[in-house]
Amino acid sequence: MRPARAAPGGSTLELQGLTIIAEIRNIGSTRDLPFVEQSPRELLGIVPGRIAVDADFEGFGWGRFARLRLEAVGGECEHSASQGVVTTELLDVIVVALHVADEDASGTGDLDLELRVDDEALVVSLTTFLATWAPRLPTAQAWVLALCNPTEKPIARPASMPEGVALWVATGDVDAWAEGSFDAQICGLTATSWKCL
Amino acid sequence: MTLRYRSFILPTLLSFALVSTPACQSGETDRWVTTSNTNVPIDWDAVGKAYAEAEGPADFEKRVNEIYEGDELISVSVVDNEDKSQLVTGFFDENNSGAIDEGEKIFEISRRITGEGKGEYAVAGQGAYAGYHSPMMGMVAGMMLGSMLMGPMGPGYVRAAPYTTSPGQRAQLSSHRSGYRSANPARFSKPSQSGRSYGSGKSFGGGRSPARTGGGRFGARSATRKGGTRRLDA
Repeated sequence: MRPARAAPGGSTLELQGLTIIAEIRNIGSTRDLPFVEQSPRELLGIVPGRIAVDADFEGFGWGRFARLRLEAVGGECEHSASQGVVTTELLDVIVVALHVADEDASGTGDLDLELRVDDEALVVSLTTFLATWAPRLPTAQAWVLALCNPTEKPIARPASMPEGVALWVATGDVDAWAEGSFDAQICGLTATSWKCL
Repeated sequence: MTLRYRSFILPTLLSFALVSTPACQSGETDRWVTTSNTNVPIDWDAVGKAYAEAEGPADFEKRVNEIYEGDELISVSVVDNEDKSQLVTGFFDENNSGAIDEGEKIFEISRRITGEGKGEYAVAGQGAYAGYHSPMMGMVAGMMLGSMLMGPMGPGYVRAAPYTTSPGQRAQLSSHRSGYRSANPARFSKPSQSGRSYGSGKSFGGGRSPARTGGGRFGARSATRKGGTRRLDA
């Protein structure tokens, strides 16, 4: 029998010779969160044929992108501009996809995250989250936080960020998209503005 | 007419795992070709993607008419051959004959099998769009794509009878497209007139590229929250 694989934070039960994965997630701390690598499409919630942004998307995790476009529709970014949209193209990127909490009780330079696991919403500060997970992520030229920042709160570069890795953070809503033919698709994130820390 | 395009799902291989020409190198001018006979652009990347994902001719003709932004309806002819090659022709059926008449072609997509579990296809503009030729795009068994493209790769493939959009089907297509355009006012907000371009090709907020697929938003949804909330302090 193929060994059962329990989800992070979950439990595995043996019952009458059958291995059953019980989705009992004992999430007591940030390290118990099911924060795992996903494919670009899965991570960004890209569904072929859908045009609209999925405002109810709840997925979170991280993923590797050989190429990623950041679009700033109302603020500052770097490099080229076209039709009022400022675009920055990044190479060798890790996208850290998270969700901002509606109510932010974090301190200066920080943001509260709200991550849905099963039916429970778990709130943790970005600084605490990255202190746990940043050391476990692979290195890259840049990390991008796919994370809404509707109040445009200034974010400080967390101390847990590895040296030499640029960290891009957004203001406003962050919406994911994919463009181009299926075999030459490029993914992107659109926000009000993007800033490199 | 019986069509026997069979759906199948094979192990995952992300559809953008194979690269022919990266989109960033093709540039907007390549993907949005206009000619002297018509100023209505066609997003050829989107047409190729629609073909790759279509489950059959009816599905493809629906998709391609959602992509096209002009007034004309695009009819489709699909011919499967003994050697598992396929020729798809898009055309303006101006005389409503249900057949491709002279001067009506606007594109052709040709698919051929190149070896065991391997094949390729390409899109080429015709008539007023004759200036466009896509790169040759590869496909291999296992890619999660539509059965119209990948049918010959699957077990039990049965060659389908030739298909052409019928005059009756054009009425249904027109109705479907009207509904689609009404549901996407940002893209189809300007009056459509043959020979005139409208809609936005690039910007996200004011009118997104028709080739764009929407993804997720990375905010919170307390309004739809079902369970409780708990804070993690470490």
